[in-house]
Amino acid sequence: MPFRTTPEQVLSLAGIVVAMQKAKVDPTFIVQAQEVARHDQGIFDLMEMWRGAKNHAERDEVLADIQESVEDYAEAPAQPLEKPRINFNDLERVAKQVMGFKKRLRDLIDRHGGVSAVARISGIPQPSLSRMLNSATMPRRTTLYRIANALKVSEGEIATEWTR
Amino acid sequence: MLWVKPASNHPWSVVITDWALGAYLDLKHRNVFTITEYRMVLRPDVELLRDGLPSPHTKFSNPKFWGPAVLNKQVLSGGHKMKWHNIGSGQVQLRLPVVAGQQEVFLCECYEKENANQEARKLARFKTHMNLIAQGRFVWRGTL
Repeated sequence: MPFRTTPEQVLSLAGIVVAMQKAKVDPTFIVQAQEVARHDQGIFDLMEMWRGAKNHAERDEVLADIQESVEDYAEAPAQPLEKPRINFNDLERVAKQVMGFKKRLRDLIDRHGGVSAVARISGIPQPSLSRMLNSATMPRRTTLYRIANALKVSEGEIATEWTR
Repeated sequence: MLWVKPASNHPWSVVITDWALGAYLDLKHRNVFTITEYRMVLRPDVELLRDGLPSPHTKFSNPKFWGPAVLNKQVLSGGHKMKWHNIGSGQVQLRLPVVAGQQEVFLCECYEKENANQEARKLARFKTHMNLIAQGRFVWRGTL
């Protein structure tokens, strides 16, 4: 049966929204997360984990997870979609290319004031942006567009062969 | 291109989702496991899923290798975890959440277990992936 929040859970979410606002989390992000949490139990659980986190570092980790899950929803195809497979022997080469691209992206971000500044103007939570830059997973095209729009750079400057 | 379930000699398909591929890319790049471990342990274990669930293989009755996905003391229906211990030079615990469907198993976001809080977050992400898979909203990146 699909998850639907109970009235008590909706009120609980409202409390979390207020707490996130007090913690100066980006308002657009809060609204998006709260909307999806009303019909996805995984994101609802993450919202509660954010409230229960014991310290700032843990809250940041939860925030990055919420952002990833919200993006999973936003970018999920309407029906199963086939994308090219990548053979195991090619994984390392792809990962190196992804990391090379992210190094260039970080340089671009640093030229515009650094991760915190770009997170603020793009509306991407800072922990999410940091995690994206540091991992070898393929970046999402929508994340790259948000960065490009925030930095007012052309698509060519944030283009890469490997995106999700 | 829309995904069409491929024909196979095995009773079940093991579907590599985009989430599984993304996690593998990062784990491999960080050398969390060695190529030998991948070829000799991880991949052969995952390939056992092609024989379906519940698995006929005795290995799956070992709770240190296979078990239900549980979050907040609640079993995630249809969700399971494959577990490996002392993997790689970092001797890490590796977890692969999988969802059982109709004669197919979906591989989701594999992770290095660090502590209970981090695992709870990973399982909350898994819940979202289970939900999206149930709606048919996933990206196929191959089958084993």
